[in-house]
Amino acid sequence: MSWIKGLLFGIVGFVIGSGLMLLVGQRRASEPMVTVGYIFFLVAWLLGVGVWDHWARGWFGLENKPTPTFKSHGVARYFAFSTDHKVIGVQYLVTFVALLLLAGALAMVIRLQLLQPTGILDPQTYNTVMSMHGIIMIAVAVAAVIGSLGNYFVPLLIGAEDMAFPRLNALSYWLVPPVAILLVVGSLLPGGFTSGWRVYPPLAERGGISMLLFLIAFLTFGLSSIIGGLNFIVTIIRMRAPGMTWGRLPIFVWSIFCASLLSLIFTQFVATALLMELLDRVVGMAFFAPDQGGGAILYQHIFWFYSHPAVYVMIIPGFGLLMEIVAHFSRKPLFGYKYAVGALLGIVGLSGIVWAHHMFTSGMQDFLTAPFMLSTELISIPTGLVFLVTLGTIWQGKLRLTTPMLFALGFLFNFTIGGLTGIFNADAPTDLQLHNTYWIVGHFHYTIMGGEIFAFLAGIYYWFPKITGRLYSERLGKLHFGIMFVAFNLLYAPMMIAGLYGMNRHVATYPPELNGINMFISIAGFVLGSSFLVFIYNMATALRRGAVAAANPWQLRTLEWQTSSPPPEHNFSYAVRVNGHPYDYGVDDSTHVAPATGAPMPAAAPAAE
Amino acid sequence: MQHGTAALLRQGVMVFVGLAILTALEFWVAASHSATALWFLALIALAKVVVIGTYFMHAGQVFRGEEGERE
Amino acid sequence: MTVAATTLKYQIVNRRLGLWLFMVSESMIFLALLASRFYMQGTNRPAEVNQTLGLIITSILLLSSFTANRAEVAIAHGDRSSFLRLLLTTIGLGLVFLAGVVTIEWPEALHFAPPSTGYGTAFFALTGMHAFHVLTGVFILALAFLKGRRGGYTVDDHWGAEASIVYWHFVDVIWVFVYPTLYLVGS
Repeated sequence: MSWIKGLLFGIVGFVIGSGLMLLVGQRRASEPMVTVGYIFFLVAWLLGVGVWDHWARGWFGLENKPTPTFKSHGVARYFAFSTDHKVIGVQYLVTFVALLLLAGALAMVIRLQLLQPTGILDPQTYNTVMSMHGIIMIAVAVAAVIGSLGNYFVPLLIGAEDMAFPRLNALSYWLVPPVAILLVVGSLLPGGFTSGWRVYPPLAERGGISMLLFLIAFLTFGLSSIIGGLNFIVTIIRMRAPGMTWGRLPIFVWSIFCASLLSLIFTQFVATALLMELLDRVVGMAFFAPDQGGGAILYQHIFWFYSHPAVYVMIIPGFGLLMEIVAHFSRKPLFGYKYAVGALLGIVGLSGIVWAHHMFTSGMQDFLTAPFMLSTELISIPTGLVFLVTLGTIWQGKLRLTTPMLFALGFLFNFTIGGLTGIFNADAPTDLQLHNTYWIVGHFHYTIMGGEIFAFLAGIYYWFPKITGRLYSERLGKLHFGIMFVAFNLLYAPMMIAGLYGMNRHVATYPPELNGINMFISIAGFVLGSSFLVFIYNMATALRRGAVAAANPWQLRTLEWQTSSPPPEHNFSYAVRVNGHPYDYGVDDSTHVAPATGAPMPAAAPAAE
Repeated sequence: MQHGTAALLRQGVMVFVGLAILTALEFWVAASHSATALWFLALIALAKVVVIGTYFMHAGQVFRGEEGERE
Repeated sequence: MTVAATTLKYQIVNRRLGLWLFMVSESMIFLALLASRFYMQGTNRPAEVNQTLGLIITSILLLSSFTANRAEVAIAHGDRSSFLRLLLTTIGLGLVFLAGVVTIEWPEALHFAPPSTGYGTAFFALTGMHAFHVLTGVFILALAFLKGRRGGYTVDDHWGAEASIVYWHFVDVIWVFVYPTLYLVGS
């Protein structure tokens, strides 16, 4: 088993690395010892999980061992260094749903704390819980949709048999477990996390050894994100089936392409910012020490130069899922396909010039305020186009209100509120008042949780029959949506109101007069959390005894539905040839996939219209 | 040696000489302490990158897929 | 499309694109570090910076790029012995460059610009990050050398050699920016 072998190798690696540092005279548990030990741990872990067996042997002239397949390993391939994009997609999906639930449980602890101004935790523990919730949710938001649904469905949607670099794909997944291990270990060490997920210096540079672990965990996660992005770009450029032109690419694939461009280019900046903090800590450099010639807000500049595009890495795949699902379940061609693509590319183009709107109160030069205000508000134009496309698609469509469609419509509602409240953050005069309050927390959760996580759930419900070959209970799915949607709005709208009254974020307590509204928020939060129990129950029972899903249960046009559920090892039993647009529902004589020559396509039931 | 090899090797020498000249120029510009030195240095660096990228790294091949079209 | 239908040439173009995307991504690290140097210190530069050494190691790296290019031409035309000889020269020059930075330049710089100062921070971070890339470049070139010695490269399939050499040029490209930024700008 890869996990056990990886851990054993990793521990031996850590002992060797940290032992070396002890030999050159570093103290026990000193920062250089832990850092070098971790580097050795990471390399050994990767070699142990399968990089050596299936990849690195070739570098040294040895024969690589074959990677695990269904034939050779059965279910155990999900715990091994599989290079099948579908296996990796499921690995990502399970890992990140588990992380989502873990960070969600931490959110419950936060709300438990804020039931009363006095709370139940000491401020130090609260900071750790809050930072853990932040960083894990950021990781989930960055990688959940791309890593799981992207990995599973991009090759299927473009008619490829796998990603361009299958081994690199596996590598990007196997970099994730060390991140989780580091974060869990770091949060349990005395001292805990102090600084929130943004790890601003000087706080992050002065915290204990657990802050060091936090930094290298974040750095490792960045590496995984970059590798994944690179792989998607090459796959989408080079692996499309014959006839799958750029103009026929399903919009979800476009969204993954755009998000991958962003993570390829910008993730390096957060990696560098974290590396600078590490250098400051471990070797005593002066990047963020203004008294020694460093820059006081340099970190914020570099950090937000990544972290603003990062929210587009999170939300663009959400937009893609939204438009994909809305087009299919409105049974209409996607309205303004070219504008939708242009909008996504426009967001990519603008995302690199808006970062300083996070810094209006940081003390940066005044002349930067106006240009960043303007560029930030420019982004509402492509975002508005996405909404126009979605609404135009819904307009006069034959709507099928399935569970995924409901989640997509929920996304539309939530993100509208998230987008409109964002205007007040983009405008410097109002932002000076709103910054660092729960208004920001509410706004951010409306966009990312109400947007991307709703889209993620929509995607899971949409593709669950394809991935597992089973049908879930529509009734329970709708129940999940109903509870979650109502509780979500009752949770985050009052949060913004509390922010308007001046309730500060990142603090373990609040003024007693805000007790009533906080109690309301907490109860809504617990209801929201409990809706996930319905989700888990639904998925678990469907997996065990759900009805068997047909190849194409909803009679949809895109390629992933034109193969069995779940798809065979190399995805298609016939040679894929694309000859039309994916969303031309109701258009005469239009097909997306050309009738196959040779092996027959799986029979699709006649459309129920 | 084939004709193509000789031409490619000669091209390599030319590029190397060109880069050496640019480096010398860079050093000379910096030593002159003029106010515009920074911009000249940036220009020279960009020129060097274009030369290395074109001739040494074959940037033009990246999107040239036709030789490798799948059947 | 099946594995068999994907020709080797097609895969090599995929890998070439992947390598270039990787290099674009890596250059962002250096972009951030270079920008930080100007953000923190403007064009301020201590007078003690060793200009002679800077010029020498720059020339060594340039020379290694030249030999790397010749090695690539050699293997692309099936001349294995020249390829191995030139690749070994490249690796040697790379190691000389590393030695110049780590054993001569760094101890000197520790005196006039320790890492706890603004310029020292930029200097050690940039040269250190670059030296790390040189080290990985040398490692990859060495792997290519070993594979070449086993006869692993042909005229049609020498992707490993090509990739390691393109990466080596990339290391040189980074130095093209690092060198003027640390040694030449300002006064």
